Amino acid sequence: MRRYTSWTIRFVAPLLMPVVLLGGYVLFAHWQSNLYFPSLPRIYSAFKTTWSPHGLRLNAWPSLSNLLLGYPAGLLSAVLLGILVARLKALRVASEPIIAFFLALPSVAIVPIFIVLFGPGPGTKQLIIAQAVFFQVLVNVIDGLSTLDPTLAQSADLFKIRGFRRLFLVDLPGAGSQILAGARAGLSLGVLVMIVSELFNTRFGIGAVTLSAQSSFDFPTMWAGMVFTAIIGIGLNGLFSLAERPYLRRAGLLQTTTGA
Amino acid sequence: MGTNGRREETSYGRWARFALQCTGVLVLAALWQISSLAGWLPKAVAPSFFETISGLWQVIHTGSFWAGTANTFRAWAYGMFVSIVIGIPLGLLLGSNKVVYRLSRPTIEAVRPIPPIVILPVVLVAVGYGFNLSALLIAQGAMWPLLIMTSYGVATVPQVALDTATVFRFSFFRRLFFVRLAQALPLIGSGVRLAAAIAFAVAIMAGLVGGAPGLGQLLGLASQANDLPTLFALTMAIGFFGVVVISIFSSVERRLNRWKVSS
Repeated sequence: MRRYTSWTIRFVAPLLMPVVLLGGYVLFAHWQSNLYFPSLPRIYSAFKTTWSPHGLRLNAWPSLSNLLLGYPAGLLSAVLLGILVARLKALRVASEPIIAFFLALPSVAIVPIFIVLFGPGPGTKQLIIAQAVFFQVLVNVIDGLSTLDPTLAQSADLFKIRGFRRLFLVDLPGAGSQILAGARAGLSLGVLVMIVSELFNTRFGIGAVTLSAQSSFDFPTMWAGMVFTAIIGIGLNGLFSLAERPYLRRAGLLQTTTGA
Repeated sequence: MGTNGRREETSYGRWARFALQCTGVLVLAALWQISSLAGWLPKAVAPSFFETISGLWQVIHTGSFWAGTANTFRAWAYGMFVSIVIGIPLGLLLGSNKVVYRLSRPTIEAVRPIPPIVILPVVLVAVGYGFNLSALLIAQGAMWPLLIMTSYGVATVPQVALDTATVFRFSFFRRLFFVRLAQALPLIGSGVRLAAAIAFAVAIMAGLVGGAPGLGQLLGLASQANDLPTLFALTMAIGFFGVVVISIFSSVERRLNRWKVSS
């Protein structure tokens, strides 16, 4: 195929589709003149007032701080427990059905139990996020560590690399791409349950402000909340991509943007 | 995800493996029961294991449970159907043209991490509470993995396969179906499995948050009533249903993958 090297093609082309979609929405909102689909300028002005510095502190910070505490907690505990379980083969096999159950149980379904047991406070929400992230990462850590390249393990044996050195130099980097995939999936799940956990008896938060705008028929603010949620999802995923670049570059897994 | 145990070497036989897995479940159940009896897990916080099981026994003898299950899976099936009918052809369309693929991929990649609950408020006001809400949310949530996997699978068909089709003067449709779609089948299988799991989760979510009839709605009612045994029983039942959905679609996916290996 032809290589597009010109920067205009590289940077403008990806924007073509969003622009077309946005234009489509503008026309749709214009023709429909439906209350549910307010025009872009109205959404924009609602966005500016809802997510002003004050609004960010009031509604975005509670949500994001829950994620900021819950996500690393779930990630770290999953990696630690995953290393342990992957090492003990009997434990790994014995825990398979339990982990499969918690993976199959939608993390949204576990939210009511947590809310009823611990109340709708921020600690509960951090716990909900942490457990959703935990199982998603755990299964990938265990799977990644127990399906390491046998050649790698043999070389490590040959050079007598053992213990923590083995763990940090051979095992974890070898399972790295799968652990990262789990961590990325955990992040999207974390954002999802962050929003869902705020839909029960909560006054402040991204999900709470969006749903309360919906129930009070303030549709521009509702859209502002939806757009903000989408931005959070895209932005955190983008941050994750940036954060994993050093590892991917070292592992030779970094894809160039020009390759199709 | 945890089901691809085939490539790892394991010294356990089939039965030893099964026995170990049963032991794991039994040990967990015993720990739960013991910590309840010993008072480490207060009754106010969580019912014991046997209370949960008896709660489950009672719950599965109620009509509302099976009506809820039927509603959840009806919405699930409907949403899956719509997402497959839209997602796979659209993925085929986007993936089989290089220019279209390159133009659409950045947008689709950007949209992917948006949680499926985002459109809930606008769907709520547009179609109201009920079956339509559930079906629409499910179709929307399940469509993305199908679209992404299909377009990716179709776009990355080996050039040799395409050239072969050209040499044999395949017609446009033959090329599309027997070369591109056939090559993409394993990835589409993964897409369908992901979509099925997402669809189930969204079905629960639509009931819980949007009040659409189904298991999620029952879960919401039990939590409002502070009915802990029912809440635990329902959550457990939802987990079991989730396991069933995922195992069925994982075996479908494995079958499609086997086809690829043998070809």
